[in-house]
Amino acid sequence: MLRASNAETGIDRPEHAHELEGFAAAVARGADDLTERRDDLRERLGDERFAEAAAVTAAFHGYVRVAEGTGIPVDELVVATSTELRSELGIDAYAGRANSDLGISARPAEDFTPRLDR
Amino acid sequence: MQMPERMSDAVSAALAAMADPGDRWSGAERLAIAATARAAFADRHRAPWMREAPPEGVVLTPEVAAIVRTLAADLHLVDRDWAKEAIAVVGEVAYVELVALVSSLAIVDAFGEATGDEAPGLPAAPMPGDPVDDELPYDVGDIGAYVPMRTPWPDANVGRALTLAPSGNGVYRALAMAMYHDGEFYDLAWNRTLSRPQTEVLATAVSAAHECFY
Repeated sequence: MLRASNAETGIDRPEHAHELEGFAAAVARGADDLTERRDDLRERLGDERFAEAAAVTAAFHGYVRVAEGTGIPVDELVVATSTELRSELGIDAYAGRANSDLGISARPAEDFTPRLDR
Repeated sequence: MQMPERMSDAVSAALAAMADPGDRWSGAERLAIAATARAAFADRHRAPWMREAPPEGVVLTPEVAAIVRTLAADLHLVDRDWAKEAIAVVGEVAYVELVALVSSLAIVDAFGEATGDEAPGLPAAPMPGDPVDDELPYDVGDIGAYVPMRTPWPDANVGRALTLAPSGNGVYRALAMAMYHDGEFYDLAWNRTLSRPQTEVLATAVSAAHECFY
């Protein structure tokens, strides 16, 4: 979805991307520097935007449990449009790969329903 | 910190629903699942031998409590074989409901960790009544996941992952939606308080930290 939203908006590197990424990863990993990252991000974003950032970070602690707990296969659209990216980032080494049929040949996103830009 | 109203409403509703009878679990069992999940989630970054003892007074069997703790704290141990064993213990619908409850609690408690605020408490007492156990109003089938789910389905698989347990699914989806896309999932260029690309940076970082293939 990051790739798709970057393509749609034409934004390669969202504002504060580094701080957002570091903050979310610090929550997920229980990092020792979470307090510093939280304070820094809150100062940069202000309270309202920081609350949104905290909420999205929290939401994905649920999404990953639903995905891993139920073993849902990756959607065909994502499989067919992410072959290179998965390989490049090492994502194909994740254990959850076993739940998805990766034999789907590469195709452009436009070939799929539902389209993400509907 | 002040939580936006749509989020605080969703959190309150999710926590209140933990005390209600669900698809297969009673209100007392759901609260016990939530208490066990909360304790395990809080301890998830510690080595297993450093973790606190499970909360006392819960009504779950040791086998069910172990399933809850793994989903809350040791997600990397979950694979098809593990899920098969868990489902053999509780049954498919109860397992899906359990995943929904643990995942919902993870959202509530991760928000507390993210903001540095204490997460709101669980309801003090369960609501009376039996689990619903209604027939599903739609077809379900095998899509290659660990559990059956609604089919046919026009959207992303994550949206149907919990459809075998409608009440659990309802609690989870309302909460997750309020915290993530607020009903605008298909707008890839939203520019709300946080832009869509900024939102997806956060989502990607959490997913990567969990090595979530989906």
